[in-house]
Amino acid sequence: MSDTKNPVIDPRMVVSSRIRLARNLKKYPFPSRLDGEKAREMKEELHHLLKEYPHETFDFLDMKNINSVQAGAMMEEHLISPEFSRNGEKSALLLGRNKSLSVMINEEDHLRIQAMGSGSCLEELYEKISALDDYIDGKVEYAFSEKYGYLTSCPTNLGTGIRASVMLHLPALTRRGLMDRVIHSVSQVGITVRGLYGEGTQAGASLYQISNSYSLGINEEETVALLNRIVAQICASEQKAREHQFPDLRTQDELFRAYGILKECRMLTSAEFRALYSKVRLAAEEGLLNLNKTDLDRLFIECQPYNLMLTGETESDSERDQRRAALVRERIGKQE
Amino acid sequence: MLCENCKKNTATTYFKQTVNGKTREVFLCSECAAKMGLGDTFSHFGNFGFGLSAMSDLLGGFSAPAAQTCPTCGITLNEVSQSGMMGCADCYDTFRDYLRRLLPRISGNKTHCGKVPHAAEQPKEAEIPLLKKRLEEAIKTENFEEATVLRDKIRALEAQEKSEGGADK
Repeated sequence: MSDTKNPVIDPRMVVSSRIRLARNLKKYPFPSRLDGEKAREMKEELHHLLKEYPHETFDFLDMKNINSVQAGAMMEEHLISPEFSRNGEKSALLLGRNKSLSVMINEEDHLRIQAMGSGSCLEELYEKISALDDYIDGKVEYAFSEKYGYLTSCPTNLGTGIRASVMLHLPALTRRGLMDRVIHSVSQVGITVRGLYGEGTQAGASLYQISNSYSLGINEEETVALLNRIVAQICASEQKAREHQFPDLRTQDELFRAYGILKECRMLTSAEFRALYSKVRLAAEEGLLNLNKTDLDRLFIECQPYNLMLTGETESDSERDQRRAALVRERIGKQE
Repeated sequence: MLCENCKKNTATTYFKQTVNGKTREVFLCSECAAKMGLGDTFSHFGNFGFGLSAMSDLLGGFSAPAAQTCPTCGITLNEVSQSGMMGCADCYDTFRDYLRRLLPRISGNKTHCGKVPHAAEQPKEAEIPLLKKRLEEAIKTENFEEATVLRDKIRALEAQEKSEGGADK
């Protein structure tokens, strides 16, 4: 896929990119109408089929063996959706070695093929995901119509079944109260902006997911190009908003103080951490602090409640806040 | 008499259309008629052009009553419209009239472009006659929406063939 037509995206504020394809097998009813036996049969069939995929090795995680903490941690990593974890015995996750490629079996559709990576990398992800899609297509018959494209449980996913999304860190637009305007204007061109953990949640750390709203009547390349164009525009708006904010010594002082807290704190709640992460990431993006942004983003996931619970399931909230503080101190200290 | 669309309100609006000697009728409540863009057609009957396509669409839908249950997966139209979810691939055919009204609100009157699964790929030379046959069928069954899509596809393929032929010379 050529990227010559794509405008330049300011890489500093791009946290990660994701693409998913929704696919269904012609011979089975969609997951909501699939009985337990057929769901098991399909899980087996796909597990077997993906074992042979030459470009990736997948771990097979049957959701009936996954407890709620493990599922919550995978949700925080965006590997699975809340709906997927609710489907229980019907569903399974095939997870690639470095977690960048995965397949949810029996989420809302039979297959949700996903690829994700750090920074802005939609073209690269599409190539990867399309190759896996071609491989599966060679082994099964997809539900497809010439008019509607790939047939999906929900008609909003018809067409290419692609959902491309980019996660952006937009603290200046958020602080200046401009996000509503951004959300409204991009919705006119078929782009949706959501808070960090999907629809209906707050973007606590000024993190937003920018994605295409529909996939019928627009091909895969056009979808990726549209998204890149809008992401570039939003990043440029964020930069403009920062120019107003940055010469101000008060702002810089606020960011350095956030850094000071993260380096020395002894107790840290999840909500406080999210707000401090945003300030420290902003300082790193603006070159005020020499911190690795990818490491900060990784720390952000590790500090989420379920990820922390993976290693201390029975502890109290206060014990968890102590452990979060210790983890943050250690990681931030290492980066110095 | 109840509205034939929502089956809740009393029908206050009556439409009648005669095409090639075949007459179709539909009774709607004022709310459904307005939703379909037909409210004004009734009160300004002389202005026949207004809302005509929506009306023929609707009358077409009612002339052959849409199946209420999918024969493949057993889901009912009521369940589909409440959850917004289809039960299986065949639902897209069973509930096509429902979709014809729903999809323009989601993604406009668009058809698929992009990747095609390997099983659905047609050898290029076989595609035009096949599409022409489907176009004839669509006209016969008065599925004009489908016919327009097919006509445009045929034109695009013919133009493509012509330009490729020209380039060869």
